[in-house]
Amino acid sequence: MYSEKFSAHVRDAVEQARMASEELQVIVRFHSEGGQRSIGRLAASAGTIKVNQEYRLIPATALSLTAPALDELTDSDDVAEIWLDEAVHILLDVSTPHIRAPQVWEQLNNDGEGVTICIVDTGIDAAHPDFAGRVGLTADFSGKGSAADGNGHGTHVASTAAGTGAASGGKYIGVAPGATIMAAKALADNGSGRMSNVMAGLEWSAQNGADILNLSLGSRGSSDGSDALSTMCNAIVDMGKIMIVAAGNSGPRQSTIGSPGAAEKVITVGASNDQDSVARFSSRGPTADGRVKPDLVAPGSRIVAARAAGTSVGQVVDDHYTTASGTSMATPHVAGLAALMLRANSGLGPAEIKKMLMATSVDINSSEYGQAEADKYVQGDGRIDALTAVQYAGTGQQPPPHKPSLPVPSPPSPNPSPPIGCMAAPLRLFKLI
Amino acid sequence: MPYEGQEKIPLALQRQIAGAPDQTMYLLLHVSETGAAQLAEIERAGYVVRQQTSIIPCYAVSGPGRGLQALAKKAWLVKVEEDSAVHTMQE
Repeated sequence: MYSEKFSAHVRDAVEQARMASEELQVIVRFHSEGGQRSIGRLAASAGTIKVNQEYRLIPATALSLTAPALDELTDSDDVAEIWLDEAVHILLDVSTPHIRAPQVWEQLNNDGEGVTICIVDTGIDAAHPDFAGRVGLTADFSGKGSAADGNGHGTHVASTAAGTGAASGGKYIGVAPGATIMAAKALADNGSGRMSNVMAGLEWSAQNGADILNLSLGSRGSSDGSDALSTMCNAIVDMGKIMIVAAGNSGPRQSTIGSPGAAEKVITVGASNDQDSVARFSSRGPTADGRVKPDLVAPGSRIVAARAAGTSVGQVVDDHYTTASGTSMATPHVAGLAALMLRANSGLGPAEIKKMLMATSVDINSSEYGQAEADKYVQGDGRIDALTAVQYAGTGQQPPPHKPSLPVPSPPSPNPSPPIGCMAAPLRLFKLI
Repeated sequence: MPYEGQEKIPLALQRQIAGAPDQTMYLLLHVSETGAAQLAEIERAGYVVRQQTSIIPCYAVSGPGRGLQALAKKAWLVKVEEDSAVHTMQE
């Protein structure tokens, strides 16, 4: 017997969970706040129900529970409706609006055309429709013999920076969809390599026309930025190139920024999440020699972007797209933005780009340590904002700081009958910006 | 036993080599000059050159740690560091 309190979609999920003896994640809407309060007592006594989140705007509670416990709950007169608490992904069509890249494309008529971004990574699936006609030079430094991406990481990163979204009908567009992409395969198909492979890839990129180099990779452990790879990165910045580097995924512990994220002159990128706060995994400063890093943060949590053919990195969405998290995913948002800035003013050097990016970043105030200086080690100068950064680059005048709307709301709407699903909450937010 | 140029090698690496001198190591040799003479000396010490960079003059080599003893005394060898592993930064 099934209840009218949930849809067939929920019913199927409940039966699947029952068969597999797995827990369910649901959001229960109650008729009243009193009913909502009762669930707390029930959870405490039953032991098979865990309260994940209580909402105030509507009397609803997010729960983890077993199918039998859900059966009991469904029978309660207090319960009005039950939705699945489904995964919500920050897709490229959400993360790029989040940093206000579409305003740059539309209002400033700037998609990064004429700027070259080199992705030094696991290679690229150059045949992916999102890169059609826009992949320039490629080279292999991993020993594979070609820059073909047998891992998928490099392809995901490249499309976040500069994919056109062609395979999704223009939905999943990267930050600088007009930019040219170069790819240096420095990591093997298992996602690892040595510093020397990366150094060789960087050198080739810098000497073969890259304006911006994206490094969504690094070593583990705290670095003082004096190693060979960091030294190489600093030298390439001295050549006038812009280097964007992932901070690492060893947060929330302090002093977890490795090489080359600790290199002084690069732009070191931490990850923000779908609540517009710093992701827990994002590495924290200071560097091993006490300097402030990361420099800024960008969206890096559950990003859906291009999937290389035949690979299964992250959570596969479909033939052409997959979901991945990490400072790897945050970094190409900044590389794409740097391309938009260079398009706006090709005379800018790496130090100016870095200064402008940091000056226009939005303080998302992690308050993790309760003091401003320590907060720098978490978010740097804040989360990037494309529109003000490109305006600053184009005019030389620093615009007033952007004040973002409230973070992504997580409670469901009480009215729509379909359960809250993938994308619903983020889309609602971005209509407000 | 100390040897000439030992200070060019980090202490941790010295210990690692002393513990397993024949073990294959991946090393970065920072040099003041590059050329055929340096390549020949590196190969004579038992190393295979994997990569070479010019923006910062450096050879990436692999081979037995014991070979460093011969190279450390060379004037063109500035310092040595381990060619560490790097990974993608995906969660």
